[in-house]
Amino acid sequence: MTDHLTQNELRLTPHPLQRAGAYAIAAIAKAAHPEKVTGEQFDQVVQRMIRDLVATSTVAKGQAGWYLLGLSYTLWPNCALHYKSKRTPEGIAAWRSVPPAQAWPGVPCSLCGRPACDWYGNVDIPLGASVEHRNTTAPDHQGTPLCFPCVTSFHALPYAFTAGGGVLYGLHSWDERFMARATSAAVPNNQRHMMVRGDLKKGGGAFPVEFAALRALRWWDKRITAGVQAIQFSNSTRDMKFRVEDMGQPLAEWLRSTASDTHRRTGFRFLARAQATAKVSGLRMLAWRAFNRPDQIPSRASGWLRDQITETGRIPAAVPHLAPLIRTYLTEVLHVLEKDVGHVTTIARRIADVVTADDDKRLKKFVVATRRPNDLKGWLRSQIADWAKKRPAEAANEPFITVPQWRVLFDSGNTSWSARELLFVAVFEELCARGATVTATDETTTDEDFTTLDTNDQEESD
Amino acid sequence: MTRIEALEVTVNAPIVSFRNPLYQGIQVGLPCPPPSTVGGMLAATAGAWDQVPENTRFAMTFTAQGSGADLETYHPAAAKAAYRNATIKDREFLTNVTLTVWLTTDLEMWESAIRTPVWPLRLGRSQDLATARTRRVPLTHGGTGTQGHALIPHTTAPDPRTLHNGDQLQLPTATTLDRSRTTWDTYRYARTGTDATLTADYTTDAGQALILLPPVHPTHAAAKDTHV
Repeated sequence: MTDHLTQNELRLTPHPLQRAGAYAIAAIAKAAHPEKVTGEQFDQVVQRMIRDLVATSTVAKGQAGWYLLGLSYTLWPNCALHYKSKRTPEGIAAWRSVPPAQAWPGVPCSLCGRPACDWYGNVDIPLGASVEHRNTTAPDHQGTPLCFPCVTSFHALPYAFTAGGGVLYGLHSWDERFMARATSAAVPNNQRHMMVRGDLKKGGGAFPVEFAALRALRWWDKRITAGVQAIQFSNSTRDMKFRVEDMGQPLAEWLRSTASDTHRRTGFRFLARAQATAKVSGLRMLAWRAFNRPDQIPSRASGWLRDQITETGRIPAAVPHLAPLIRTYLTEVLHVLEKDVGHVTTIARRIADVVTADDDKRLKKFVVATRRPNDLKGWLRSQIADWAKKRPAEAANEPFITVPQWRVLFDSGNTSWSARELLFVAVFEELCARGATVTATDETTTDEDFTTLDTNDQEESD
Repeated sequence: MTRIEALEVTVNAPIVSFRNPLYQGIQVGLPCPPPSTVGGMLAATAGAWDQVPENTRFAMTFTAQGSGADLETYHPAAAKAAYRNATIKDREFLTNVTLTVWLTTDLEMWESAIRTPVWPLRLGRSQDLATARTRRVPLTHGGTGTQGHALIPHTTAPDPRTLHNGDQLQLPTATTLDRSRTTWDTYRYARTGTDATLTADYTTDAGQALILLPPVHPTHAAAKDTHV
């Protein structure tokens, strides 16, 4: 009796793809967590997945509903759908049913440790070994032993991951609540694909999985406790692919805060605009950089500000919103040390003393000098005498820049780079705090992704 | 603070590869050796698992100076001839690695085993032999130290003063002798190191925080087989 029960109780295991599938089953069953899915609900989801397979099995390529059949070549090579004799309701049901208990191999499931119901290979296990190969199996094992809930979790992957461009892509996180939320948002979309799509073309615009992660994070209203992974894979026998992009927890939490914090929300629009390239919109480039080049995010933003200031010689209205946002990125994501922040803030005040916002030329020269470390060194040296003349009475005995401050900016290896970025934004924060005049910035955006970025329509529709 | 004597084992290897066993069809590399791999290496020096005390635990740090991907010929071990065709697969590897393990019990046994290992010393899927040096070091019981490149259980309290407490990893801790069952645990590891400060089980004189990892002996994996 116990054995039977464990064959319809989901468990979460260390396997990210099994977890994604288990969360998809929970989402279809409308349960809060995979382990809350009842046996009855589990059986209903299994039957529903069989019905979806039966429905797609007779659809011709290009016709609505072929998507799942096409996807099966990427996910389940040589499965029942690919043989004329097995592509029947009975054949499909046989593939997706628990083998009789007397046929179970009598060994534990390799993922959860409960009794396995059969030996499985890469037909059912994404990126698994062929059931014929013994390179990694335990002695006397005829494949990888799995229990029915674990193998069914793999079968549910098309509901969690989207197919396109020869791969399946989706999100994973060890933050269980976020994982449940992100998967439940993905499931209705993927079910829609199964019903209406007749192709496997890569849709969803540029960097769809990275953008999906950005969107999921900005929907999420709780502190995220783990990083986010963007997974792309193909289980095709001829060309297995597996690519995981990691976004660390600090950056994930920071991105989330750009939606929940009102001040950051305004700056975020400028930040996204600053990331754009000629071919890819700002939000999608931001999403890609968050996974692949997080160090480029603040430098692109400060570069965008530099260009604006160099062009007009004035401080754009974006500065009071974007500069503090870049500062938070440098301190919360790139971990600029507290003591370095103190040094940089002091230098920024000195610089604000000599660069008055009303003097276009001085401001412009400072901005241009920040493009290269050597130029900034030269500019700082050139200002020492000037500051001595202008310095306020309370700083009469203080130097323009101290040796420790200089070292923070130029002699601390990689951290000097972030300190210089911080200096740039801190100067403009200081100027704005002193009441510098800002010029209007065009706040209209052509980035269409903003229309769906912060809408919670997926969950509402559930 | 109490001081104890421990055995510090420093293992170096030019090229190593730690595969993620969840993806058997491809070769996905891990950034550091799982505790089960380090346990396996220690057991190899002792000769077999039955020579290893069941409650052996250790703390570890790991650094790699580089990483890369190579191509290797994969020879399937197949029962049927039709499935024996060799194929080319990518293989991720780490270079110039240093694994440091601190053992706090059975010091003489381990010292002897590592100086004269029963089986050649290898680390993960290494194509080169590894070298190991041992030395007795004093450790301070408790206290705080730097996380650095330590592999630590995820349950270890993170440093609230920094956000850089390492990445969360699921790694095998122990495998049964018949390899039918692996227990997994959640760990944290910062591949570039971190300044995070930890409340440690032990600290070295250099300020390295040491957190003992769960026991890696196969009996602990078998003990978790409650369902079978």
